Amino acid sequence: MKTLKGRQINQLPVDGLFKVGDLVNYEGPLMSLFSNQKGELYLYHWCDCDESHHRWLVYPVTLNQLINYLNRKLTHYQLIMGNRVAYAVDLDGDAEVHNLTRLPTAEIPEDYLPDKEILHDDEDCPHLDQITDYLKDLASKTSKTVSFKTSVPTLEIYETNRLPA
Amino acid sequence: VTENMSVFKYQNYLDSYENCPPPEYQQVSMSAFRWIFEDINHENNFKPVLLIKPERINDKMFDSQERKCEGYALSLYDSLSNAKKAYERIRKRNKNLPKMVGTHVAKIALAQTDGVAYECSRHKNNKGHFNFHESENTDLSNQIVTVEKL
Repeated sequence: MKTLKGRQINQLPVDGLFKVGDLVNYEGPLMSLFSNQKGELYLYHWCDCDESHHRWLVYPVTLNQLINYLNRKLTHYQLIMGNRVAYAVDLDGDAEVHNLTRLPTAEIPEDYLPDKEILHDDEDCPHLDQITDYLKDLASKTSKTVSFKTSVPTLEIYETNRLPA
Repeated sequence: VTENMSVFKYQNYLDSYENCPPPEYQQVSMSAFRWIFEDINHENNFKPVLLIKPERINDKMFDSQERKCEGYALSLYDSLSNAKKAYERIRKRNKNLPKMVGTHVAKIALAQTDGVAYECSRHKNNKGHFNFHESENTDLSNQIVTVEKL
């Protein structure tokens, strides 16, 4: 795999991440949402592999950014490039970390980034319900009002005390 | 075990789960399409994901008996067009996808005795994707009709 223009670090700047669900999946996760007890949100974006490792791009997102992404108002590219830095993690088959690199988003190789126009797509998302439920719960703890409008009209979800008119 | 189907290829694994494959899976006779590597003898071309990476059974993706069972099925598409569209859609997001799943698509002639198929309901809008559990003696690499570059 490519050598990245970044700095090797020992651990991510966030603790206690657990997986909420996959936003993209084909016979396995390609884009996954992680969070922790503090409600911090991180996305893992599969970007490369060799015979023994898979490389993931890891970056934080805010609740608002993620909601806007799910509502197709922000692109996947914008989610990544909304950060000044991201992290590249190389995991082996046992999910053990082998390399962890902190790199400026401007230095992310082009083939590790999605096309600029790519939006969320329900079709690739097997955990949509559990992800939106988690975000609604998170939003309720911060007194925010959230609505999710998926690409399939019959799946429109409005979780608020202000239902749409 | 489904009617008319005594043993599946990965029966030892399937036996660990209830209703695996579920009764809604049916025998089919049709052309199916699967992403493969250019080398049609590549070891992963027709290997279910949980045999390529057995440790992934602990992944959240396989967080239920149903999902674990699906992990021993193959992903197929019902048309060349749907196989190509799905590949292109995902490749625009994950540009190195070809390293993981290959660069070609195979047309495969599925016969009734080859296994059982079902459109996976967890995807909201399937667009031709379905799961396929192979019968004990099925070798889909021998049933490739054509291969073309994606």
